[in-house]
Amino acid sequence: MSIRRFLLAGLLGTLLLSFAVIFFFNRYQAFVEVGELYDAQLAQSSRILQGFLNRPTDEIDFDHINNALLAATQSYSENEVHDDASMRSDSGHKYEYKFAIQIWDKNTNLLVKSPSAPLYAIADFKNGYSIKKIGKFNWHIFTQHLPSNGYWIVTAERADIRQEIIDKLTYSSLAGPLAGMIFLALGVIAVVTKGLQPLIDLSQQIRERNIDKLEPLVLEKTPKELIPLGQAVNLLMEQVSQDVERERRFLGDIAHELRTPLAAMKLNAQNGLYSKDIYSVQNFLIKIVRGVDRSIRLIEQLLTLARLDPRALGEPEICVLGDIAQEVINALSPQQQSGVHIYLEKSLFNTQLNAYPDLLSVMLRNLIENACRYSPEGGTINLAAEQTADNIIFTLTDQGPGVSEQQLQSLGKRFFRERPADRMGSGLGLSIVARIAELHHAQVSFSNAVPQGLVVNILFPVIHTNGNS
Amino acid sequence: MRLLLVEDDLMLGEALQDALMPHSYVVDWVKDGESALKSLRREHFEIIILDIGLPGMDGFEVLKKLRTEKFEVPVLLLTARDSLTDKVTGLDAGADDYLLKPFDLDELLARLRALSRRAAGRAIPFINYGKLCINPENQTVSYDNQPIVLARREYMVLIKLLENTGRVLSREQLEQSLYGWLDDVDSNALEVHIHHIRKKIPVDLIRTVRGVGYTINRLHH
Repeated sequence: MSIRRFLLAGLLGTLLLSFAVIFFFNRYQAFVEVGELYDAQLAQSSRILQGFLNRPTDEIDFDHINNALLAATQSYSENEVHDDASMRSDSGHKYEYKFAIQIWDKNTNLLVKSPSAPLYAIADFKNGYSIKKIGKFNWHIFTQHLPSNGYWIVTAERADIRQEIIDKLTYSSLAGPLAGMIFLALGVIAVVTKGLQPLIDLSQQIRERNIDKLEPLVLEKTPKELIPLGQAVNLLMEQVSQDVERERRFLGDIAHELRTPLAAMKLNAQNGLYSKDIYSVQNFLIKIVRGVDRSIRLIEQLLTLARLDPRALGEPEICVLGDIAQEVINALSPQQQSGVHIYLEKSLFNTQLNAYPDLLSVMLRNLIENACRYSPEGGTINLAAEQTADNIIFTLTDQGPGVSEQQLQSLGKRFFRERPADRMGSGLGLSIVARIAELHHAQVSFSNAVPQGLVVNILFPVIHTNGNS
Repeated sequence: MRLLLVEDDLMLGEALQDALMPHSYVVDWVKDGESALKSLRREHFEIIILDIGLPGMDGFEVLKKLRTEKFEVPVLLLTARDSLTDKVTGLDAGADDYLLKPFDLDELLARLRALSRRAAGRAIPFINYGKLCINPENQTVSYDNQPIVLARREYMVLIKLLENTGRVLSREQLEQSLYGWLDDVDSNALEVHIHHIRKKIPVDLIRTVRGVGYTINRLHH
């Protein structure tokens, strides 16, 4: 649907309709007024004749009247077309043939007749107005009976005179409004076009935007009705551009994380090729295998992160943290556990949580593997849970080196390593933990343990089912 | 040739060390920007390989800092990001060259040779001194078209002196370019290397400046 088309059709249609109403009203008015005027004129002509005829019959010279009427309408032709100038003359007007007069005596003998009148009675002998078709034309007729001598005076007038006057009156009265209407219509078109221009400008601006060009719309000249729309679009574009930027950065990070082990593997392969003794070739092969393992782990973690799609999660279930942690620990290889003792506190088995069990398992595995990686040989990792009125707090404490205060802020970001590159982490473990926490509306925080070690706290909100909050 | 490697990735750092050692580079390896700047302030390096993706201070910042501190040492950037802006940012920040990971060992070596050639103000890849000709690409030395076989450190001393003809290099300067932090330095090792070079090359190029160091005279044409 086009607003412009709707506005133009609506406004111009209304304009046309009002014009039609004015036209018909004017025409009706003219019809009524002209009819009254002409009817009055017929009656008046009749009355003048009445004045002459209201005396004894022998005193009236009917031939004289007949001749006068005949002379005045000497040269008329019904079908001739006249212009205004030639119709008027000193002796009369050619339109006189459109008027007719008959005078009858009481025995219905025709005494007087204008040339335009037939020999038979135009109307019934009955007082008043009537309309009758004579020949090709309708006539308006006024009939009057003179009681003194029984004469009938019939005055008549062709209807087309009236019609002509009505037409002329209506058309001339409409010329002004019509010209006005045309201006009005042009004005409407101009105003609608001009009024919609900001909308067109705005859509042009939006059309110019794309994924690489998401700068805000310029709203300086935008009318205030469109500003909320523009602002909403700007807000959306800002969010999208942040998302795009985040994705771009993430891709850059992935590129870095994938290319670095590849670079190492390629160098090791070439080092091996250039080596002359079998011992060092073997040594380089071992390094290559380690590089491949690291890349595999990185790709698995990336896929895990990619699969954490809230739309594919299904419904949360009641989970016991201790059970899930126990399963994760059972699945650890001795190499991964690397001589670290993992201690599960009883509280873990008393705590029930409404959560996605598969995700919790991934989360705990990442946390435990991470803690193992940084723990000293023979160290202890402690897992505990605590339930308060509003939260379930899960705590994991290791005896690793901990991190600096500055680094505490960066933990959980993608590809950030606690101890840069000295251990073989993918740099994604804690971002997976952070993402899973986010999906559970939980908050992750890190702190340093005393005397040393890292403490991971995860605060799960308890969802009250009885309506308290 | 003394080279500072700034790389936080354990695996890549190790592989680079393994790759560069046989090519007469003495590689010292640090894993973050702070340590890189500290090492530069303390010792002389002839070339730096700098990774951009470092923890804390990233490669760009390290580069800017070391250029602000007027270190003119050639820098080869290692980057994992192939976006144009990264390259431009790196070069504008004062890098002399960059390599995209993963890279080829031969290309890395060629770029390093080009960097030291430019630093020494040479355009041709060979080092010629009279009848002596050295090809850094395969580290071969010849005199009057007769090949001469030098040990790794002997080769390094000769190159160092040839790239600084006319200047007397102190014992410490020579030792710094020969030994990394992990190398044991014998007190008279340098004398032994010089002695061997003198024995292997038919003419005596190296002049001992008593109490100061060693030099090779500038050639007059």
